Amino acid sequence: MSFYRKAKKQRDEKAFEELLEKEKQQLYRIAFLYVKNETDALDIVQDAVYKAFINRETLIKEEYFSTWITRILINTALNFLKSKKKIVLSNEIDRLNNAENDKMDDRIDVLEAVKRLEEPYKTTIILRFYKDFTIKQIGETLDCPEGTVKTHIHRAMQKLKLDLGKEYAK
Amino acid sequence: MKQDTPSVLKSEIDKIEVPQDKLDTAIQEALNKGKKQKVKTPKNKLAIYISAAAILFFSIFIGSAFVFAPVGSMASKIPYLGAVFQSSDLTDVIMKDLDKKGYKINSVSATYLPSKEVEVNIMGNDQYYNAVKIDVKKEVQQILQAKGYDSYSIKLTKYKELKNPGLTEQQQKDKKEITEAVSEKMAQKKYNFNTIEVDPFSKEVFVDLKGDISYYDDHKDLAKTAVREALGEVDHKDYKVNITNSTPIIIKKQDDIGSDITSKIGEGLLSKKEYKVTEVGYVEDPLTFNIKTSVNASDPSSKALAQKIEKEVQQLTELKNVKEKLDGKPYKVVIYSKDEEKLN
Repeated sequence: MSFYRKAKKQRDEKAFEELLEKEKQQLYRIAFLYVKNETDALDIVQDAVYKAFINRETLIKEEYFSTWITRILINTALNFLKSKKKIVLSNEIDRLNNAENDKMDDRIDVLEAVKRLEEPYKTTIILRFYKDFTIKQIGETLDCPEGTVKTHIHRAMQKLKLDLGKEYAK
Repeated sequence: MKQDTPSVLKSEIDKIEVPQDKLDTAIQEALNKGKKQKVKTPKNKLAIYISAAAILFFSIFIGSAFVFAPVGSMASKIPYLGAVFQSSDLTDVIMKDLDKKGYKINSVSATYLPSKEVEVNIMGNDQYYNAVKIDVKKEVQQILQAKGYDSYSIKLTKYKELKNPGLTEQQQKDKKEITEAVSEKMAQKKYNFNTIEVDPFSKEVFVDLKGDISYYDDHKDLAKTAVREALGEVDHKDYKVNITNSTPIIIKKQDDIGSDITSKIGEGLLSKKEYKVTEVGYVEDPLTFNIKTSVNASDPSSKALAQKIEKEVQQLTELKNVKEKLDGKPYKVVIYSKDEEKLN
């Protein structure tokens, strides 16, 4: 590596760290919405940051950092859930048990409702309303046409409404 | 309620508690791991280490002498390279000192951009880290003080064993398959490379070409095509190909005056844009320093630049201790333009 490039590399790394500093909390919270526990959420953030870091040259403009790293995080989380589903069966049982408990729990709030949403509704909702992605950006992230995204949002809202109906009807 | 949900959602999500310390540690680990990415083969490790040493070295010099000097007076502060030559490596001093005092240190690094910082990476578990961190910091402070460097901040970090990035079996298989196919193809085409990295997460292949910038320029497209071919053969056309070049400019041999001087010339000239230097090398016999610049020979300022560079090198070799090392040995300085024409 040439000396000059080394210096450039250090600048890039520092810039990356600074941008990340602003995003890290949101990244963690999104990860948490997917895996619902601290340890896994931390693992996912770590994994996503690593992937983003080694691929930082694919980021064209600083302005896109937030969108870009959020995409990486969500893909990481989804992959994680996929692989976990195959390996740990007991998790599934836990989840079913929890679902039962949830039903009995009167304190149903928006957050729980979002956590319970299935894919791709959960991702769509998080991206749209938490990260303020445009329909187009969501389409790019989930690799589907904009029309589909709109449908997802609509259906997700229906589901949320249904789930929250009781609470909000009061 | 339809209108309300989004804003409620936002504030609800923001209520999720963040384990700040754990999150910072996780991120630091990820960054450390990312930074170590390229340092894989032993050969590469050595090379990176040397170029890292070079930059640390320079940081001290910049910090102590030039940052605060008015730009106008720079030219009169001669010899520029002479000053570089006579400074010594701060991180080396710190590392050795901490080592001697028995601290378990993984690495010491110094950066000068964007801020001046000395970072000490401490090995061992949490208890050890907490037990020694104050002492280590004091120790580093003392060294900095002794050297008269007052512009550095000190950062202590904890060394973490890297976890397996958590590849699935399929990803591991893909990674292996692609690495083998690509390295075979590269060998077959006789392209020189340092490392091949495959990232199944982002679906990317990184091939680091070995050789100088001109080798890279000549071969990057060829290599890209070859890698694509290899990917096609193993049915992984969906992977993106990145060709990089991180071959260091200087490999230092021991007791080699040419290399000693070349490394200093390199640090000095490469670090200042005004010299427009892209590469520095040397030939042992007859002792010749080759300096490549980024100007075209047709550029009207190219001759003046060459003279300036030559003068810097000359002033360096006239320093007492450099002169002693050279011991009357004749040497030549050859400065090249971007298009490989001699400028002097």
